[in-house]
Amino acid sequence: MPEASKKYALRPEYADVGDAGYLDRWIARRRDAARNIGSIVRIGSNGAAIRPAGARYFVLEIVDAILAEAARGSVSAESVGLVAALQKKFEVFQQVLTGYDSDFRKCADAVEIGGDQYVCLARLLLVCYQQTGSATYLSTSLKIVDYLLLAPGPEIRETAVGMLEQVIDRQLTVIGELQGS
Amino acid sequence: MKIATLCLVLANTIRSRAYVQMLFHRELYPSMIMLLPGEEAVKSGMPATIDVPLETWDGAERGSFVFRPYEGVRDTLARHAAEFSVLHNGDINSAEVTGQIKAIAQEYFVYSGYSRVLINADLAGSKRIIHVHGGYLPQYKGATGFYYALLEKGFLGQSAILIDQGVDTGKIISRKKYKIFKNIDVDYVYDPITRADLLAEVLRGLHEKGGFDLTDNEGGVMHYVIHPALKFIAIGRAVART
Repeated sequence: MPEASKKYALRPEYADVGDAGYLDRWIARRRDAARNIGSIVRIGSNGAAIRPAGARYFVLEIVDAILAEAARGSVSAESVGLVAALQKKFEVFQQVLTGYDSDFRKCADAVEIGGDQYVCLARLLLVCYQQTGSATYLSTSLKIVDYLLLAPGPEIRETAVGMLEQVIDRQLTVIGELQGS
Repeated sequence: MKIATLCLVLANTIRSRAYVQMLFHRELYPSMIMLLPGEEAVKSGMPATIDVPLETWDGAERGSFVFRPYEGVRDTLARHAAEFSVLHNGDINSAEVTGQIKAIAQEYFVYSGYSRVLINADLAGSKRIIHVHGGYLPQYKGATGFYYALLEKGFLGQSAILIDQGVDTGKIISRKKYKIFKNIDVDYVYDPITRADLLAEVLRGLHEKGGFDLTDNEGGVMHYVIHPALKFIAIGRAVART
């Protein structure tokens, strides 16, 4: 079930929280989405795996490398900076592309990353939130999952579903912690 | 007191209403006022007057302020018999408006327009433009920075800066942390009123000293419009502390 339009990300409507029951309803919807996560699997060609010509920053490589770094315990300040650069692309342009040049401008033949890479990015943003305490990373992570749950959303393969479940579960845990603190 | 070096550029928005009502309430009068044409609709369901308590995070009471959300900027100006002129259009970066502003003698401007815009280099280079950013700088750059501070720290921060070419990167004139209170609409009332409170303090300083002691605005994290789930928690947590 769509929870928000992708275009909401920078629109004022996104900030309208409504009545006192808003958060409870939001959490219930997100839990429901997590239970039915298999239904959003959409088989794609994974065009995100193709490195655009002239790409200094190839997003597939970046997210894989930083995920591996995170698995070892923490990520470097440089990696947080790279995640922040991708966050900016999503927030400002409402999409992340497969490759950027040395000035972090889009490559001519770049295409939007696939759902798998968005799942990885949502995960990395959570890592950045947990490491820095800055809720801006958490906010964008939540927005990316909003986007992934849209129908029709970006292509997402079955192999990424497990990580998406983990991301949603972790987001809900963090939300619960923030509510209770 | 009349501030000879100051021009106020206003649109008929809730923020501009807060600014002009607060400045006149504190008896601060710019020597020139310019209005951008157009009007922003007032949120429905607001009371005619709102008694807004003001208190800083460290407990200093700043009195209360009676805000009239439905009183248009022109109405406030008329109530105080303040003169104003109307700009050619609502785009601060249009050649016409830039030319109009550059042509006047005042050195300092407060810009409160219809939306968040980057001021063009030509204008930013020729005038000192004061902006009150909704966020405690340098930490909270970007959009809805004050919600992030509410969530992470519990205070609502505002920062007065001199605009430069970046996003919230201008040097800091002054900044302040505020408490928030129950039953006050943060977006629509408390944010503009606390910005106006800081602006009034800054402009009083401009009148008394003739300039500002600026501080650097390096570092910090860029913030983007906060996710509504986090916004909801931010308000709830901050109100619970009061």
